Amino acid sequence: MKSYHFIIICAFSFLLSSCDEDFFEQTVQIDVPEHSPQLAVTSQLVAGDSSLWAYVTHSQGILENGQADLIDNATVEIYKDGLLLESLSFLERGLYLKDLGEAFSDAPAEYQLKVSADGYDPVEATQQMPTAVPIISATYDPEGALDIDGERVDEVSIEFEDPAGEENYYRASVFIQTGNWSQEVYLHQLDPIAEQFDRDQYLKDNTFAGKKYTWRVGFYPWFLDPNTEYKIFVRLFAVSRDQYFYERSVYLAQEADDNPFAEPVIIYGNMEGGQGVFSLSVKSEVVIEP
Amino acid sequence: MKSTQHALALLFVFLLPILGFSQQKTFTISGYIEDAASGEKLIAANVFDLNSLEGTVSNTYGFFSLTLPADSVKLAASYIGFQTLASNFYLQKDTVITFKLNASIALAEVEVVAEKLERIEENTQMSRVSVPIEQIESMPALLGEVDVLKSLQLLPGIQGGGEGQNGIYVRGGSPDQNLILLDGVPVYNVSHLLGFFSVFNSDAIKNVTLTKGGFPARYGGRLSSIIEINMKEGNMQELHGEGSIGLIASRLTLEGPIVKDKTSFMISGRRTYADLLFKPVVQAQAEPEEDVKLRMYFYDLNAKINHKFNDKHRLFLSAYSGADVFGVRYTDNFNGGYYKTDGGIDWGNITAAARWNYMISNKLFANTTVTHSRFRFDFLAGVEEKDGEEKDAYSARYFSGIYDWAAKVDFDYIPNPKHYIRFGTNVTHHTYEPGALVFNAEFDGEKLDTTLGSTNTNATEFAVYAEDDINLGALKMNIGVHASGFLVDGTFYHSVQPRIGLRYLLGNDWAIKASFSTMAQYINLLTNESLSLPTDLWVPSTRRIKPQTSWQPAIGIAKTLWKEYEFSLEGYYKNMNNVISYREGVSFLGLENDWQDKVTQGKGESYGAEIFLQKKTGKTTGWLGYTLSWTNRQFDDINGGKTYPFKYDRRHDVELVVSHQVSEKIKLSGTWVYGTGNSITLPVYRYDIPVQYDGGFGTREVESIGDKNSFRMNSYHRLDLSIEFYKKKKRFERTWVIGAYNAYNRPNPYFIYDGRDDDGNRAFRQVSLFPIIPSVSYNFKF
Repeated sequence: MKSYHFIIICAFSFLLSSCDEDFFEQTVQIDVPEHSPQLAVTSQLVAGDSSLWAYVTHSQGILENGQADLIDNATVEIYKDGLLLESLSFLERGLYLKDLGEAFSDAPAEYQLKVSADGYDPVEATQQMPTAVPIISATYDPEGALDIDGERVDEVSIEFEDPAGEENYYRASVFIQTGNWSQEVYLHQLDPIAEQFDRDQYLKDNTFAGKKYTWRVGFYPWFLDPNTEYKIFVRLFAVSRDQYFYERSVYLAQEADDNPFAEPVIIYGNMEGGQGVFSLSVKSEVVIEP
Repeated sequence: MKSTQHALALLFVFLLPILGFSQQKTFTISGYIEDAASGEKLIAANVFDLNSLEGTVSNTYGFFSLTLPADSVKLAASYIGFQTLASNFYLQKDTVITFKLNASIALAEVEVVAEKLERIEENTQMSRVSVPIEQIESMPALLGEVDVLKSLQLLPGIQGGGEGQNGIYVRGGSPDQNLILLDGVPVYNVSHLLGFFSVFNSDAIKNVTLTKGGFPARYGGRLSSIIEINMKEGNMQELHGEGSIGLIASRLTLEGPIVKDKTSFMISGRRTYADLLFKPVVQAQAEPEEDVKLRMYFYDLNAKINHKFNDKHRLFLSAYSGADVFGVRYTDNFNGGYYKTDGGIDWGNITAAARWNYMISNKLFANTTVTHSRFRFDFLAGVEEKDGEEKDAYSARYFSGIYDWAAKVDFDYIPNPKHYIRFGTNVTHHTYEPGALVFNAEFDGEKLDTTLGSTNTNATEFAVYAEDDINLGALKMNIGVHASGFLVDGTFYHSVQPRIGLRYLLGNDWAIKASFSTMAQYINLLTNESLSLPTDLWVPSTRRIKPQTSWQPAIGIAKTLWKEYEFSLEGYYKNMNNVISYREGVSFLGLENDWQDKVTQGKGESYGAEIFLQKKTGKTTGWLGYTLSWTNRQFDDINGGKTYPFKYDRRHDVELVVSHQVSEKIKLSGTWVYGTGNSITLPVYRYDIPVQYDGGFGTREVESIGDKNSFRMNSYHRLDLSIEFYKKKKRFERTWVIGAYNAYNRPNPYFIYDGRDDDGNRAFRQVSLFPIIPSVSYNFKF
């Protein structure tokens, strides 16, 4: 009997000694297919803004070390209804820009982005300008609501009428100008049917299609000095479907980062021949001076 | 008119053998088979007339009925682990016998008879395995906690989920496709502690049976398996108890007669005690004005009362309650007020069943059951602050659950040895509570009360079935039909499911078996594939979400080898429709959308072959299982509509389970498992996207994934060992169990992510969960 005890103690000593600090995490070899770099282009244009922009880079294999090379010699062109509208010029760090000197038109039209660069297959994407949706009215109510965390927040209500017979997507933005500085505020969700993608809020029209709707958003007024005058720029963007799905996928991918149990997220894109997204939105703005 | 006469004549000819009209006078021997020591009924025990070679098996309640011609009979009753009991008499009238079998002292004594009576090739049923609870209790277990569901994972065709999880994936099915019944009541959440332990306390369990294919018509409601777990009935003769003190939890079970041979009880409890150990430590760390109350435990409580009115009537009342409770209440008292936080999560099941056995005649047995099952998850987070007259309070509560009330009646009709007819019906009312979030806030006298989330859904499910086990000598068959319906929110779904099972005896005692079954399922589990979370939601089929359906043919051979080994080889193909999955990119947590928006439905298929070699008797028992299988899924809006491997698609799966009685006092047990690595989705390339910040823009890297589940983790293998030291003391018996989980310390993959290696280069990193984990427990029995 004693010999059995001895054997067990020896066995456990041996087994326990085999534990080491690398047990819980180690590098493993997994064969990943070789990746041919593709152009990756992001361009989200806003009707009402005075500039057109695109960010151009390229994709890399997941196990390649280092940063992607800058692409400063790409041809970036925007077409309107099949005719060349503008060519964008390289500015810095992959950013291509064209200052229009006037507001980018919100007139209904089909836009196309075409990008080519040496060593890569050209890419292109097409978008229809969303229907402009003006803000009917906007109100501001200091400490007018409790947000989803139960905190007291300032409330902004945006009333608009959703165009009938089409699928529409919206983004809200609140911009505050006070004293010598201004900033876009981080919005907090008050409307249960809205979706919060990081600091932005989006809304689909499936529950109010073709009707008037009042969208409530909140923000913490911690930076406002009651003794200083300020202006609130309330903005409603009618965004294209591709922009909604792209922003949603980027947000979900960010949320899923480092979460091994999250469902895999495919970054939404519409760039034929490569990676990235080309999207359009139309801005409507109301200024409130409390 | 003539055709009607012909039809009636044909019907009469068909019914003649069933109704037992034959020229020779026949009589029926009926009764029960039970354990002589405890009075526990023995399920699926054999009763066999050695003269006529006719036989039958006892049902779930130990009842049997055998109709034979008037003649001398040599009736033997046998059951694994018990001495065979034989009775010789001349059958000249209907006879009622209760066989009281004694446990075998030396198993070898019964082997000769058992070999004749219990051969695998005799049974029509295929794809079904019963695991003796004694075998389950002797298997090595994680942290010494015996786990019924993890034992089932060691059978061919069945996989667990992630490392240490008690998930059950049967022939490529999902966990929600298993109907897990405790005394006939569905248990919706079978997990404690994120799935590392199951809710079934082995001390309270009498037997476990899993059916993974060839479903007889009496089963329905799920696509992949029926797991029947029956609680002990309670010793009718004398008071007994058993228990265990382990590293994680302790258990205690008491059973005995309330009225000897009439009424018995069984009560069994299990509770973890981490909170009791940590409580003094936490309180010692707190300041004098602080009060910290820790809740951190899970428990299970099983109870059963069994009353025998007479030989014809018997009543069983059984109940189970179990929960996981995790939370902290913190109070900071200060001059003139306090600050209080209270948060935690609780989840658990309650089940209850009342069953009435009625032996209507010596050929007809009825069981009527009324059941209730409830699963509820509750999350609470609250803050309360009082300073003088001012009081602010805020709380958020999330809850979800499912509630069932059900009634069913089942009949066993055994007209003669050629037929065993079962028929019955059942109805279940479901209430689904698919997740709601309630906010309450009070600030300076102003109150807020908001509820977000889906509303309750009520549904009614019902079924009728009939089946017949037909014995035609070398050919045996089970033919039946199961019809079910589901009414939810004005939508009615129905399904007629034919079932057939065949067995044909070839030469040399080889049997060929085949089956075909169709199944329908009206309930879905929204779950993550990697973890069993209490937030998993049971949701019904709806107008948008169609019922899941499947069809599964299987074919196999079976034979008893070398007198004590059962061998079977089966091939199967399972086709599943309307299986459910989260859409790409959907978070399985969160309330922002209707759950129906988060899921999509598609197709699944699984096919493969399973080999099973089992030894049930002797000093060395156990089994060897091997599965070769393929499992795929296809959804129109996942993976671009392309078919992809299911996460638990496993090409090769091997299980070896061995227990060896070294001596009367020492028993060695070991299990070894090997499986092809799980399929996973990994990123294959990356690129930067612009991100706007205040006053400028930066970039952020995003990764693009390859085809879903197109990569494989490393293979999984693990050895678990345990040794038992048994000693009979004056007043009780005790057993020390010492074990090791993952005995050779294999770093099995839990998940893989893309990160950096030790040199800072990009690399895939594997995370492992459990190194070798020793355990010790002290078991006692009196």
